[in-house]
Amino acid sequence: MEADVKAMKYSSRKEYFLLSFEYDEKDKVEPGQFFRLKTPTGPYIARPYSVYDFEDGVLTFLIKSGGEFEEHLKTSKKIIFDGPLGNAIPSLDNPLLIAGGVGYAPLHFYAKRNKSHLIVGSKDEELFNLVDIPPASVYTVEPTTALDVAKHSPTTNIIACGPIKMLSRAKEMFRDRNLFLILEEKMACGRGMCEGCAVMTSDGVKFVCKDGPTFSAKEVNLNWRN
Amino acid sequence: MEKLKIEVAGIEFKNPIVIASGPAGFGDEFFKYVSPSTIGGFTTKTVTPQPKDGNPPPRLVYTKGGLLNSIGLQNPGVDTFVREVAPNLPKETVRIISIGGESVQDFLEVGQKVEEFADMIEINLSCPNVREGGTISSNEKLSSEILFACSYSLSKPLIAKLSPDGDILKQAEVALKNGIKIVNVGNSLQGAKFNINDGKPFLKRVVGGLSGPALLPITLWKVYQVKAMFPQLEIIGLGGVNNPKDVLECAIAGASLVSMGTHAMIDPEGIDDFILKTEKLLEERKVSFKELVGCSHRGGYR
Ligand SMILES: Cc1cc2nc3c(=O)[nH]c(=O)nc-3n(C[C@H](O)[C@H](O)[C@H](O)COP(=O)(O)OP(=O)(O)OC[C@H]3O[C@@H](n4cnc5c(N)ncnc54)[C@H](O)[C@@H]3O)c2cc1C
Ligand SMILES: Cc1cc2nc3c(=O)[nH]c(=O)nc-3n(C[C@H](O)[C@H](O)[C@H](O)COP(=O)(O)O)c2cc1C
Ligand code: FES
Repeated sequence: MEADVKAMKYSSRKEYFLLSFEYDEKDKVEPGQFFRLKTPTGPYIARPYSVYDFEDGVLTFLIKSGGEFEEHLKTSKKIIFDGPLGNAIPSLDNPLLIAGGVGYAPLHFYAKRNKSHLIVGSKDEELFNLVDIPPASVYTVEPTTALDVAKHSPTTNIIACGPIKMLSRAKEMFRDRNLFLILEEKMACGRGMCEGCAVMTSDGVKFVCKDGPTFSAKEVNLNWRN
Repeated sequence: MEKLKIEVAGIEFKNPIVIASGPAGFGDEFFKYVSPSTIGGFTTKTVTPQPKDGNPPPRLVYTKGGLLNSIGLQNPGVDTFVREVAPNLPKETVRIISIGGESVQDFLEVGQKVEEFADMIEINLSCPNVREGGTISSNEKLSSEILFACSYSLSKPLIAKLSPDGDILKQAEVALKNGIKIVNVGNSLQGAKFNINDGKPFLKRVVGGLSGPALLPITLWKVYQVKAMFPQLEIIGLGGVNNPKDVLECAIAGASLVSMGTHAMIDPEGIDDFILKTEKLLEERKVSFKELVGCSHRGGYR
């Protein structure tokens, strides 16, 4: 499907941007799901992005600058997209959400629709000037401190999304909690065909696009990757 | 669709478009987007004797105009395949089952077990992502033994899938000498990508297989060379096909069938239209696909 870029808003030093376009909802869009995006000029393989927001028929994505997709967006104002793909984040009772960097995207959407507490960590302060953060959330410029803050929360249900190192540490720290991790792997088909986005689980190899991107931390073996 | 019909090794293809082994998996997801009655043939992901977990991630690296993959032939093994997958392969398209392994025995075991579910069998000699010692096709003796044993023991039409790394004419000659009448030119091309921030390769095995549009000129030249040297071989042109025009070019170079992997994977919904556009290109030129096959060796259109 194709759409015109509705808005592309950069953060002050252009490290991040919010991209939005209209989507007439054929399928329901749930927090945790992603779309594959490219432009008519490229990149050749569309890139997966988690939905940051979906309101009044407008989809918004939070994207870190510097990739091939952004390069094409500089000259092309059309988006070719495919989705929603992947599964929704499970509905949990009042969970704690821990985000690292652009890992905030799916959690922002989740927090809008579900009662939850939020801690966002980003090395780059300017992320906080671009995104909106619900009142009473915690945000910090040191991503790992997000986890340290979370340690003091008594909440049983936790959902984390961010760099793989942060997720591995979360898995270590919250062994006795009901932790879910939103994983990322390079994707090509986005539909469970190409076997590109593999993750090792207690039930054998699964795919981030088709079986995830959200997995129970108990189920996944992140060491297989490292 | 008359202009697209072609017969290869006694098998009727309603059109020459064959989905390549791997990028579309075993078809369970793919056929949610594509009707099997629209495509000429479907090749399954390669099946090996034992289940394989495949390589640890990252398995994909994006490159300009292509994709590097290091999947490592993840598959459930032949016994599960025969029980759970093979019986459901759609009969409305030519079913090509891709077989893999390490030894003659492996190929025979898989070939014999899958044969009853296949219209054709593709012998994968060229996966760049599994063997430490290089692809099987780089070992002439082993390739010969595998192809000879398969030709002798299997009754379905056989395809040898060759590697674009290595001498394509030598590989085609080995195939022909061992009773093979159809060659697939070819698998993904070996490549690598390095991270300029940490000085390491992106892929754990360093090497991956390059697929996608960047490959097309290489494919066309190899198809042309094989057709020129061995006109009696039927050729499947594979590598980089991403546009209906590419289908015509492959045929002109000498391919009787044209295969697509990466393009079919990234745009399955577009395949119907792709085939219609291919037919339109033929109609505009008042030629059938069959007439086009190898015509560059006969002085072009007449
Ligand atoms: C389910 C899912 C959801 C996702 N959601 C988001 C999201 O919400 N927001 C988001 O920003 N991302 C998200 N991603 C990641 C996203 O898909 C892209 O991978 C990411 O934006 C990189 O962009 P690109 O592919 O255009 O960059 P690429 O062109 O692949 O480049 C990525 C980075 O690598 C650098 N690079 C290129 N070549 C080299 C080299 N040789 N050596 C060293 N560095 C190099 C580039 O400069 C760039 O910084 C998600 C991924 C998944 C799987
Ligand atoms: C993700 C992926 C998985 C693949 N798996 C297999 C495989 O199991 N067996 C095989 O013979 N080729 C495999 N290939 C190679 C393709 O069949 C094809 O030869 C190659 O991708 C070049 O064609 P293309 O440019 O049309 O993709 C794979 C390619 C990709 C991209
Ligand atoms: S991207 Fe193809 S299986 Fe997930």
